[in-house]
Order: sequence, then C-alpha cells, then structure tokens
Amino acid sequence: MEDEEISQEDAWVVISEYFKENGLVSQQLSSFNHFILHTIQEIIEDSAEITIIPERQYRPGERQQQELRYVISFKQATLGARPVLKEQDGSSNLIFPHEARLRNLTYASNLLVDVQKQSIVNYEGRGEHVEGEEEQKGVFIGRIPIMVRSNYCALSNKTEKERITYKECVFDQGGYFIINGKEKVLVAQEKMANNFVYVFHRSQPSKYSWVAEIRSQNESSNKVPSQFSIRLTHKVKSSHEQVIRANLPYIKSDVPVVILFRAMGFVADKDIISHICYDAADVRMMELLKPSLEEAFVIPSQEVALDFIGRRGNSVGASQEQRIIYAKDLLQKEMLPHVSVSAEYETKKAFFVGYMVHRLCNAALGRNKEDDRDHYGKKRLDLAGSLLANLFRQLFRRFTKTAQEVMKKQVDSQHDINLVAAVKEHIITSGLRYALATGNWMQDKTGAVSKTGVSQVLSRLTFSSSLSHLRRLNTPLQKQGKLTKPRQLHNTHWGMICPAETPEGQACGLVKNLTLMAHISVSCNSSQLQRMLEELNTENLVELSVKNIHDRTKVFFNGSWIGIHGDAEYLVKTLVNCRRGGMLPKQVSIVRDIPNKEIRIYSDSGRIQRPVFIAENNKIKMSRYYIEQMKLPRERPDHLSFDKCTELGLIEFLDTEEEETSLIAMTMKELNEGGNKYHYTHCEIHPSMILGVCASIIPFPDHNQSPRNTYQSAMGKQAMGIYTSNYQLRMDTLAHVLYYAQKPLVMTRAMEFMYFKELPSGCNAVVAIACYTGYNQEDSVIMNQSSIDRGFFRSIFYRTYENQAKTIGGADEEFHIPAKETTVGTRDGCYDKLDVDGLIIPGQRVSGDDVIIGKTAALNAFGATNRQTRKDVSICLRHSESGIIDSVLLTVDDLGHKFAKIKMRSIRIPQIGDKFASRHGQKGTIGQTFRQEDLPFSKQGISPDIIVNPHAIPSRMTIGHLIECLASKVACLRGEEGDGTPFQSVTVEDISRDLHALGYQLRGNEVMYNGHTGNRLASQIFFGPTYYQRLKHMVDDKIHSRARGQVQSLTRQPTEGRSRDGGLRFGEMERDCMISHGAARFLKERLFEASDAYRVHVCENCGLFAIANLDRNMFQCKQCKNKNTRISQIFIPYACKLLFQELMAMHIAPRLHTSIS
Amino acid sequence: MSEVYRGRAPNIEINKITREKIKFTLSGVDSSVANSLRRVMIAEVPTMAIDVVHIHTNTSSLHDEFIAHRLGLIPLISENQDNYDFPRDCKCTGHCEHCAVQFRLKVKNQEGGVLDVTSRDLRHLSQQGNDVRPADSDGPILILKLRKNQEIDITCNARKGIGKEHAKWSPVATAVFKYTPDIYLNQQRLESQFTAEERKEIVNSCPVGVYKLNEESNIEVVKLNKCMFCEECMRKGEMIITRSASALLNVHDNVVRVSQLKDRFIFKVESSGALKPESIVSKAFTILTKKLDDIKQLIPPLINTR
Ligand code: SF4
Ligand SMILES: [Zn+2]
Repeated sequence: MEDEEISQEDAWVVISEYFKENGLVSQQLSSFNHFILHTIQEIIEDSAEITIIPERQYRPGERQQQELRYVISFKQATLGARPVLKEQDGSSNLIFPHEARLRNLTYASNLLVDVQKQSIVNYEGRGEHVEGEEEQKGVFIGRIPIMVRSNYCALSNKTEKERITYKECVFDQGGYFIINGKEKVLVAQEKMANNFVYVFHRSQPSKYSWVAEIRSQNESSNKVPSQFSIRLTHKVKSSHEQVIRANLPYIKSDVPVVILFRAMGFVADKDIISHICYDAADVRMMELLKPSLEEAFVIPSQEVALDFIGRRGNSVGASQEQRIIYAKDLLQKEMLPHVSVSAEYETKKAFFVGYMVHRLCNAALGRNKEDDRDHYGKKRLDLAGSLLANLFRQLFRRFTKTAQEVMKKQVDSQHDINLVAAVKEHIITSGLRYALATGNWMQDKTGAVSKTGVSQVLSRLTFSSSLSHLRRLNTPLQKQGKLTKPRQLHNTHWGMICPAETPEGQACGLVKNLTLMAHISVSCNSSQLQRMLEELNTENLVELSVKNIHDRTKVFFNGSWIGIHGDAEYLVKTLVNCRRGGMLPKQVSIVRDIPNKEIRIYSDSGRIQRPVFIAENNKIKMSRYYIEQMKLPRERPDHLSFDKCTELGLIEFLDTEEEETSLIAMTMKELNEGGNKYHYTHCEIHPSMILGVCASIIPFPDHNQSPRNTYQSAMGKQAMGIYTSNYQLRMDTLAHVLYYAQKPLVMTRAMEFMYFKELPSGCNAVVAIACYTGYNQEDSVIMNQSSIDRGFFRSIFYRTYENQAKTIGGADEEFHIPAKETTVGTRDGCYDKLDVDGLIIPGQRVSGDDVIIGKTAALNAFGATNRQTRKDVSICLRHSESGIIDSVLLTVDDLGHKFAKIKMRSIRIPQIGDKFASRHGQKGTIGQTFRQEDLPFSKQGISPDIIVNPHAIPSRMTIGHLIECLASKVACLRGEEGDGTPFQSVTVEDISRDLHALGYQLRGNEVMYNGHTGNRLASQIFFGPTYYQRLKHMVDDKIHSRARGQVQSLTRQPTEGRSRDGGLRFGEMERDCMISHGAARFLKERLFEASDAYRVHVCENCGLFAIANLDRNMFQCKQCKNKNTRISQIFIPYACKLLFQELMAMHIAPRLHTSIS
Repeated sequence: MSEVYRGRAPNIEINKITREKIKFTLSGVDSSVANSLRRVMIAEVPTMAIDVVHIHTNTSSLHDEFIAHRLGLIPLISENQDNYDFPRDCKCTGHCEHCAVQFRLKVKNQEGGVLDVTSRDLRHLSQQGNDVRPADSDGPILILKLRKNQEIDITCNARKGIGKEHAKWSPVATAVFKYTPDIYLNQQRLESQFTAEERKEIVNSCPVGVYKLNEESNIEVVKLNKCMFCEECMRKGEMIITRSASALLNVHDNVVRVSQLKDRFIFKVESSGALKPESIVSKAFTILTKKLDDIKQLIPPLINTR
C-alpha cells in the first residue's frame, strides 16, 4: 500500500483537498493577511521619526543655553480585533459585512499605534540628554478597510451555520472589500520584476547595439526602482571600436564602464577584466573589452574617475572635493541599491557590474540569446496586499508630515504637544477609502493619478463571474501600443494563466485570469535562507578568489549575486530537499541554470506558482497510502492535508522559472509508459487545471475551436442563475435570478469546486439542431412556448433605487409625501402609492414614472414664495420599467443621513428577442416561439425546447457542443451525471456505444414529425439535452422608439438614449447614403426640420440678429438703429444660432447676409 | 400512390389503456386527420386550471408571482368541465359558480423544521365544485416549503381554458403518433451473400432490438412496432454489401428496407392527470367534429341544399 501507484482518479482527491484548504480566492486573502500582519508594522517602523525643534524665542534678559527638541516616533501598531463603525450619535458598534452592504458603510477596523514622545535637551558642551519620555498607547490613526473573510474579518473562524445567521451567502469566499456599501475587488496588477538583468538587442537608429538593463530596488526600502544599464555601442564602419558605457541614475551622460570600475576603486586593467571575463582564456571577450579599456586610459585613478562622474551629475559650481563626495554617495545609494547601500559596497557592486558586462558581452558575441520580455517568470503580480502597502506608505508619510506641522505650531505657540490633536486620522481613513472607492491608485507629486481601475465593483451577475473577477489580472496600459507580443499567449503561461479566458477587443490578452490552482507567493523571511546558503559553503563575494568564478557556479538570491559555490548539484539538491521537508518555506523557488553556471533563488512576493506531484525515478511519490489518508474526514487527526503533502515531499509548488528547469509528465500514464527515455522530475496533477474559472464551466473544451472557448468564457459572466444564496437579503442595484436553475447534465470535475451545482446558471434544454420554418436563421433560435408557459428560463429581475435625505451642511431634505400646495416642481407621476412616510409600500405594482420615494428640499430665500416653500426632489421609477416593490429599507448612514433603498422586482418571461447561449460560444436570440403542437416531435412525443439552426455548427467548429448533447442524452437516460472534463480519454465512440445500448440511434439522431402537417421530416434530427444559459440582454430592456419628444436644453436637438426617450441617430453614414441617392429634401427634413429648426430675424444692414416682436409686428436692430425695415426672417439650426452667439461672446461677429434669389 | 386511392375504411383499435396513458392505432386515414386529432388533444381540449390568484399573506421565501405560477401548473381533475363555462362566455362579471371554482391555501408552519405545502392543502371555498380538485394519483404536488413561522394565505380561482392559451390548460403531457413500420428483408440474398457474422451485425445494429437471429441464424423481425425508422439496419446492410465483393451486383437493391405505412398511425396519449386518457381522445373527436360542423354552418344555403 505504501508505494502502490495512484490513478488519475486519485488525483481528484488531491485536487479536492487543495480547494477545501485554499478555496478559490486564497491569493487575495493571504496577500491581505500578510499586509496586516507584517507590512503595516514595517511601514510604521521604517517611517522616519518626527523631530520638532522649537523656534527660538526671544526672551529679554535670558540667555539660552540649552537646545530642546522633541522626537516623536511610532512604535507598535495594533488593529482593532473586529471592524467597527462610529455612528453619528457617538456610539461605536461592531459591524458585519451584511450590515455594511445594506447601510452603505465602509467595512473597516481601527488602526491604533503606540506613540512615543521624547524631549531631548542638548546642553551646551555636555551633550544630549533624554529629559522626558512618554508613551501614549493606542493612538487611533485611521480606519483600514478589511477584506471580507480575511483573518481580520468578523466572519473569520465562523462556521457555515454561523455565517448564515449573519446573513451571508453560504458559498461566498470573500476576497473583496466593502466601501460605502459597494463590494470592491482589487484586481492584481502585473509588472516587470525588479532586480532582473535583461539583455536586449537594439537596432540601428539607436546608438547602442546591445543593452543590459536592470530596475533595482532594495528589499527593505520602498523607493522607486532605480534604473541602471550597461550599453554596447554599434560597430561603426570607420572605426571597428565598440565601447561599453554605463548609464547611472542622475548622471546625464553615459559613463565608460571602465571609469565606473575605477571609481569603485578597481583601477588596474587586470582587476577590471577579471571582474568581467571570468575565463582567462576567453580571447574573444577580451578583444571586445579592449576598446573600452583604451577609452578610459586617460582616467588613471579613483579620484579622477569619481570626479569624472561627479562632473556629469547635478553638481553645478561645486568644488572637486564636493563632486567626489557626491559621486561616491551616488554610487553607494543610488546605483544598484538592491546589491547594497552600506558603506562597503565596492566589491559587491563591482562584481555585479562586471556580471552585467559579462552578460552583455556574451550576448554581443552571440553566445546567448536576447532576453524574452514576455517571459512570465520575469513578471510579478501586485495583489491587494502590496497595492494597499504602497498606498498606505504614501498616506502614512502624508500623515506624519501633517502631524509634524501641527505639533510645530503647537510648540511655537508655547503649548505642550498635544498628540491627539495632531493626529489627523482622516488622512489615512479617507485616503484609503477614496482609492478603493474610485480605483484611482496613488498620486504623484503633481496630484495626477498613476493607475486607474485598480479597484472595481465586484461583478455579481452570476456566481462564477464573481469568482472569476476575484482571480483577474490586469496589465497596466501598455499605452494602446499596437504591439501584439505582450497580448499573446506565452509558453510560460502554462498552468498559471487561463488560455481561454480573456476579453475580446482593446484589452485582449492584457487582462488575464489565473488558473484554478495558481497560487501567488507572499514574501517570506529571507535571513534564514541566507544563513543556510552560508552554512552550505557558499563563498561570499568579498572573500572569493576571482580565479574561481569560472569553474564554480554563481549563486543569486532575489536577483543579487551573493557568492559562488563549487558543487552546484549538491547545493541545489540540499535546498530542494529542505523545501520538500518543510525546512524552507514552500514558496521559495530554486532554479539551476546549468549552461550559464548560475543558481537563482527567489523568495520575493508576486510570483505565480502551482502545485505538481513530485516524481522520482519516474514514479510519483504520492501513493495510494497517502490518498487513503487524505480521504479521511478532515476532523480526524490522521487526516492528510494538502499542506502536509508539501512538507512530506509529495507535492511541491513550482513557479514559472523553476518549472522551466523541470521535466513534468502530463499524465501518470505518460510517466509510467515513458520507460527510461525521460527522467521526469514531476507530474501534472491534472491537465484540466490549466483552465481558469470561466473556462472550467465548458464541457469538452478540448473539442472546440479555441476562440469559441474564449467567447464562452466572456458569455458565462452574463448568464443568469443564482448569484449568491442570500440574494433575497441583499440590495444590489441590478440582479437577475433564474426561477428554475438546474445543474448541468454534463459537468466538468472542476465545476464542483466552484459550487456550480449549488449555484447553477442555466437549464438543461432539449435542443434540436434543425431548420424548421426558417425562424431560426442567422443565429436565432425557435423556442417552445409551452415550455416557456411552464416556467422554462423564467427569471426575476431586481433593481434597487436608493436615495438619502441630506440634512447636513445647509441641506434640508425630508422624506414625505410632497404637499401639492406648498411644493414647486411636482412630478407628473403618481404619488398615490406612497405610504405616509414618503416611501412606497412593499407589494405595490409600479410602472414607469411612478413616484417611489417622496422627498422635498427646502427652497432657498430666492426661490420661496409665500405659498410654496419646498421643492420636489422625489425619485421616480425608471420610465421604461415596471414591476412590484419587493422590499423597502429605511436606515441611517454613517453621517447620520436618513436613507432609503427600494428593491423592485419584475418577472422576465422569455420572449422573441431575448438572448440565450450554450456553453460553447453559440449565442442566439429567440426568433419565434411555437406551441407544443406546432413543434416537431419524436416518436416518444418529445418536442424540443429550443431549435437551433444547423448552420451555426460547421464554420464555428464547436464539436464540444455536439458531444455535450450526446453525453447529456446518455446521462439523462441513465440518470447519472455526465463527465465533460477536458483531456480525458472518453471518446465520441464510447458515448455513441452507450447511447446505442440504451435504444437510441448511436449518433443522437432521431426521426421527427412535422408538427404542423404530421408528415415525417425528410432527414433525421440531431436531438438531445444541452445546457443553455439565459443571458442578461433582453429586448424589454432595449426596445425603444420615438416620434417626437424631449430636446436637450442647450442645443434643442433631440435627446440621446433610451432612458431619456431619445431619438435615433441619423449619423454620417446614413447622411452619406441619402446624398448618394440625391434625396436632398429628405435629408433636410431629417437633419433640420426633425431636429433643431429655429427662426431668427436678421438685420439686412449689419447681418446680426435683430429683435423681433411678432405680436406687435415690431422689428428692430439695436446696433444700427434699423427699425422695422430691412429685416429678414430666416430658419437656421438652433445649434448654429448658439454658435453665433458664442462667437459674439468672444468678439467675433458672424454676419448673415441675406438675399432673395 | 395507389394505396392512397384504394378503398379503405377508417378504423380505431385500442391497444392499451391505463390510468395515465392510452395507446391506439388509427388506420385508414391520412396524416392530416391523424395530426388534426393530435393537435386538438394538445391544444384544444379544455380543462380547469388555477388562473386568478389573490395573495393575502405571503411570508415564504418565494415571491407572489412564483407561487401563482406554480399553482397554475397543478393539474385539476376536469372530467366535469362541461359543467363550467369559459370565463369569456359567462354572463357574470368577475366570477361565479358557473365559471370558476374557488380554492383557499392557508398554511402556517408553527412546529419548526421545514413544512411542505402541497396540492393537498388546497381547500374548496364552497361546497360546489368539489368535482374539480387537484389530481392526486401520483401523490401530492409540492407547491412550496415553509420555515418556522412562515405563512401563506391565498385564495385562487380555477377557470376553464385551452392549451392554446396557456400550456397549463393542456390535458396531455404528450400526444403523439408514429407511422407504422414496414420492414422488407431480402431473405434469399441475406442467406446467400451474407455470412452469419454479417447477419448478426445487422441484427445488432438495431438499437431497439427489432430483429433476432433464429435457430438457423437467419434474421427475423420480432418487435416490428418498436422500429423508429432510424435506418441503421439499412445502412449496415449497405455497408456490408459495399465492403464485400458482391458490391458489383445489384448495389441499389437493399437487402433490408424499412418503409412506413402512410395510413396507419400508432397513437400514444399521456394524460397530465386532468382528464382520463380515453376522455381526452373522445373529447378531441367531439371538438374536431364541432369545428367542422361550425364551418359547415357557414356554407351559403345554396350549396348546402345541392
Ligand atoms: S430502422 Fe432502426 S429501429 Fe427500425 S429496424 Fe432498422 S435499425 Fe431498427
Ligand atoms: Zn443691424
């Protein structure tokens, strides 16, 4: 049993255990938890202390002999145990997510910090003394929004039952924030990794042929990464000289790299060469370096070199000494900060610069290829945690600055320092709230927003759309570039990023989605790892002998070169074994690059990883024995958890880079049958885990043309179903719920983990693929009216209207039924349905323009007359909608405003024009509905629910659709669930055989009879159940027409859009069409008479508008005293008249000269 | 062609009647007649169904429209529907005992747990109309479930209607016919040109087991009526011929031929529970004849007398 082999079926036990342990939003939760647990404290501790030096006061007769200063520092931070809300009446309440959602609150906890105040006195000549030390515990510095279901949420450690009593959805996994009652997701942001050396080729117009660049950022500091690059010039025909230059931060021109070495104290040519060219016998590289050495011949010493650099920096008018200090400082702090920022930087940095030149030369000599920009191993993801950390850092800096200013003022005005008054909690509270509410992340010095759309409103259309949203990645802009490469699927995306799920159009390939088992690393403590490396005989850079570099392997840790090692094999093996034994964190990745003699170790955050089975000697280490342990109930002490598997060395997490150094068998079969041809190191858990949330819903996706899976991935998000189990308690602005949602007859195994069975989004429809009457042409479908009568695809539509009565800041609004006599501007709609409190009564049937919230505002002094004192600001139902009031909520928000939410429901019965889709990107609208007797029927009397046109199939090649139908037919005849998991061995032949055995034509065809005539249809019809989805696009929400109606007040042209009863645009192309027909009069009618025709009177003398009083038949022109003569009446577009007036306003006189032809 | 014109007499032969299903064979008519009968059974035989619902109290988790829709779909025994008028024909305004049967559904869960509210909880409001009641032969029909302290109080009217208006008034789950199969086997060629193995292949190709191999391993039709014209057997026969050498002889002449008799229809009618299956059929005939009669009335008297 111990080493009995496991089957593919057993892999599902492991997968299911993984999801039980991690859920689908673990990346969000763990990132946020890490932020609260570690990052906040780090940021607060790293922040500089506030020093306040009181302004010297002039006191006559007193001699100041001591200097006093105050030092304020921030110590231990603690987060309130549970999210709280301070109500307007002063009381503090614990809040739960549901209340926050309903009352438009922000779900946040208080952040408290211990603040220490020291007064330090500097006695003249006697040094400094700490006179007084005071610590104030738990100063409230701001509210931190809490991620729902993280460790700091009120729901953490609550059982399913308890969560239900808190009115939460049973299946909701959290991972989002609640800001002002809106659920907000922080979408992971993709970025290039820091501290990576990239070598790129540049072609001619550029000065350089090869460039080695790095964006360097020190782990602990949080500055902007500093750019550094080494460049090789082009071969110029005249001289064959190619020189290498370095581009330093803050230095305007490029510095020859040899001068840089000399500035770091490596003066001798031999010394410099040995740092670059590790192999003394490498003549070609030496040749390449020669011109560079010659170029720097004139700079013989360190001082001159430093001065050379300093001269090119921001040191105008400085002395030579100052310049040297400036240059030294720059090399220490600004250049390559990730290597070191301490005073003894020279050796380490010289080695690193040498290494970069080495890489550059290797590439220039054609030994190595240019680096791949789109390689996913070089990408890092900023998740909620790191995004919040960046924001918090900025806000905390602003916070301390403000505090300092306030305290300075206090001291200068002879007061004691009052911490509580100086601490402005709203900076952090509202700063975080603003960013999360708008998605505008971080501002630079000018106040411009650097990133938008980081925080998005969680999509709640269907459960899988919420899940997919929580696993989304975004690549910030790429500046609309036409570059296609970053959008393409890259080999390294395998297993990490879903190959199907991406939007179409502008964001195609830039917005991605994580696969189901992808996991994102959180940074872990690196000191232990570094110690371990030392213990394993890694030769330190400072101690090593340059001669040895060539023969030994270079060891890199998080991008910085820390040393060399003589036995790479041993080192890697030991480290990997440590990780597999649980001695090292499982997120550490160990990469051995044999050709380049490098070992790269990473422990930073934001790498994507995924679990795989470990194989040894072409045998999976996971065995039946462990599987049995895993199958035990979770409460049992001998239960084997997924996490434990990583410690037992059965499974490990590989990141993209380490994956490339492994040989992973696709299936266990491949592993077993491969013989000893390959030495596999790992085996996939299941290949279907390369898909993301939305693509995992598709049965047999491996039989579809790939764009179809992409279309379905986008469409699945518009399907209606049951989006949460607590939808009746929620007040979402828009929601659709399907009456009789069914679980699909054919499922994929992955759907189980997404709770698709519990919260489905479709129905199993009986589908015939046939031409029948022609009402299903061009992607329309015929639907069975009798089925619709019986509730087929019936759904409810909920819309919530909300409004608040502002009573603060001069506003005086009130909910009540407006009294007709005292109110101005009453609406046309019906006020009779309102209850005495001004809100509509639940259960009322309402339709367009009915008033649902009665509200008035006080008129200001100008507007008020003696009778009318208030203005009507009531809320009406949307004018194209109707329904029944489902529920009414009246509450108070955190500012003390009364506010109301009103939920309306309406039943949506499928009708001609509504949109439906199968799970294979086959969408269509209803073209006609037929009753049962008019539809074709099979010998059993079954008539289809949906008839789709066969022309939808051949060009789209959605074979999966057909197989799903066949498998569903077998499944429902057998009364079992069908399995449509991709990459499994079921064939069409197998399914056909089953169907034949069940007494049906083996390919799913059936003889059918015409319902109108009773005649047999000439051909047999492919007939069977298929899972269909109802999409949210419905005609009732779109239908629109207008003969005449409202116009815009500014231009007097017809309004636009259905909600404003707008006109239908007669656009350029329509105009062109009329012109080409020569239909000039018609065109004038459309564009002018039917739009904004306007009569004006023009003075014939000056050509400007004249005053006309048609009642009294008086005309005059003020400008030229022209009265009642020589005035013409003309018709022009109102917009034209407006333009003329605007021109006049800027002192341009447009004159209209009229004549009668 | 000729068979259409040969002298024939229509005939009905009842094959099977159960509580919910009837099977009969209609012969001697064309598909137009058979199909008219089928269409009338589905769409025009009237039944009673709940149509107007007044909700007084509803604290259940389903909303009003949902419950109303579910109530409408409950089949009500409508054998006596002739006693009721269509609401549009009734002289009353609103409803009266001639056009409606009133029910009340008043349930409250006081015990806790989950309480099923079923069609058995529907009570008649008055003594009359007791003949119209929810079909119950397959057990009670679930309407909704109530949690502790949830309550519903509904009155509703059952009215007469036809399936054309709404599927809830259709008395059938399905009414269907198929043509009668006619299978021709060229036994001579099957024996001479086919091996026993190949004959077995033909037998096995039929998904519903129409054929059997007899003792001499010859093909025999055993369950003719099961045939659904899928033509698998014909295809198999053709395939065997094409792959064997005998393809050169008589390719077009199939050894197995499945065809259909165009004037013999095997009907199957499944009742929804509102009417007995046999009454559906007989009512359908009545309605069909009445329709024709109504049209006959419209013929101008001149032609009528001739
Ligand atoms: S047509 Fe189909 S059902 Fe009829 S006998 Fe042939 S194979 Fe069997
Ligand atoms: Zn004038």
